Amino acid sequence: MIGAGDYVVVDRLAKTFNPGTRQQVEAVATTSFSVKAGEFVSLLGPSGCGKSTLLMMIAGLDAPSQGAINVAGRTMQSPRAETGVMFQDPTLLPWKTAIDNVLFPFEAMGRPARPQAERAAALLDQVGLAGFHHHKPRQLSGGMRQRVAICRTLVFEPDLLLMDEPFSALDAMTRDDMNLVLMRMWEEHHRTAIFVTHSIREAVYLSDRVLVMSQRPGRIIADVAIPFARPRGLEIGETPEFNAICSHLRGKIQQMAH
Amino acid sequence: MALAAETTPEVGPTAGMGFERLRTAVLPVAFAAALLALWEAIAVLGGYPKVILPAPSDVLAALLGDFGEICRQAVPTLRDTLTGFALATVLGIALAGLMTFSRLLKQAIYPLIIVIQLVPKIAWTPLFIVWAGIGTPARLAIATFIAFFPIFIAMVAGLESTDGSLVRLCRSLTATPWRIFWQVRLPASLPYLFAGLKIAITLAVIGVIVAEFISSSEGLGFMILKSAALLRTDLILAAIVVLCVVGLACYGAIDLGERAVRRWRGE
Repeated sequence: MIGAGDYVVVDRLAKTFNPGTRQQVEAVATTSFSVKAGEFVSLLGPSGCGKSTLLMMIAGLDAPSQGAINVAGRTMQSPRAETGVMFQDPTLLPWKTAIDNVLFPFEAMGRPARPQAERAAALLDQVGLAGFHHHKPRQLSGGMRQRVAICRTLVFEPDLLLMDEPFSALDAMTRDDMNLVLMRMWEEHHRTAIFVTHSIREAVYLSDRVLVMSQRPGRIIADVAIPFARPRGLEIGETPEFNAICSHLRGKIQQMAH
Repeated sequence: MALAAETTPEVGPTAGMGFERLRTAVLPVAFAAALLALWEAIAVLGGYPKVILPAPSDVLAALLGDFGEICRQAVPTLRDTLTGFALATVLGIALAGLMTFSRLLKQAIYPLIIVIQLVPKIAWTPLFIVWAGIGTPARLAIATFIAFFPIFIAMVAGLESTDGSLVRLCRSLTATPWRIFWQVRLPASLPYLFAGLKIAITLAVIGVIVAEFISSSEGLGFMILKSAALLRTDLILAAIVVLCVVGLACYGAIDLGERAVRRWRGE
């Protein structure tokens, strides 16, 4: 682990899809930012602003058209085994039970999964799925599936968490619930995290810092520190300070739209 | 109390469901029995010679009379069918799998296979006999060839239908293409595979019977042809009855496999 300092450095990154054709789309304009070790940063922006593309490039799943990404002192070429990615969908294997889904990263990496079973079970208990270890995804609700996905992302102890609107498909109540679960898990495991969302409140609640992105082609137009102490409860969402930061961010986004 | 009151009326619909299920089982049997009775009546009352139209009772008599011989002939047919089917399954899965590793390979091979598949496969039978001679290898080759296509095509469709987000998850976990194939693509495509297997097993039986017509001294196909030469129409039909049972058993086994896979997938 790098001590203090920048853990993820995004350097003049840009992405254009189908360059030189009629379908050419400039998804991400030249963008630079960095995330410190142990920091929770949200990328906030309207739908289709390129924030997911940006995240997928940091995950090594998409190649940048320009610029470079440096994670833990190494330039990204392909996905790295120490990064945990959470997608918009839970992406569970339908034929595996909850616990086997949590253990799937070890199988995918070709590492023995059996010795990790206890850890996987403990994670499932922590997110409130104690009685559901041997249920298959079809038997679980949307919120439960995304909880399984959280456990799967944490089970192999990645040093960097990348989350691509993981709760956007859930209803508002489940979403609050999931934010709380994620917050607790993050406070416990304390990894560097980048979280993509289009929900202002979600970004403020979860993050140490919120990066606001413009509409496509996306670039970062504001960098706002969120000062609330941790651990944070959901009740901070009702404080005037919280709402003030939210309206400040909303102002930034609307300013861009005009 | 309210719960008990609400449960009682459900006996009605449940009983109705049971009756519905009974009816779906009884109705086709009853219809088949009626057809057989009609056939028996026409054969007996019409006074047709047994060579032209044997009555179901004649077929039953032939079946019981030559049961040992028919079963003995069913063995090579079943053996060649299952062996050809197994070979086709391995080849179909392997070749379809290979295509997920190389786009180039897929672009080169897939259209050719589709073109070959458009030709009636039975037309190739004499060619296999020229190549492999009169014997088991030719019959196996024909059964394998004919059963290969539905398995291959179903498997390609299944592998292609694999949820892209699952593949992306695997890539983010630095899984090798081989692991992605083994742990995600293959299990995800099993429902497609079983659809292909069901078609393939019936085709494998057809392939073996046609091959036995052309080049064999054993098997149910050979027996049917020999019985025709001896004007033993009753024996032809008896052999077909046994063939029908053999085909049903094979199909049933695959169906059971499919149900097991469905359960495993949590459906």
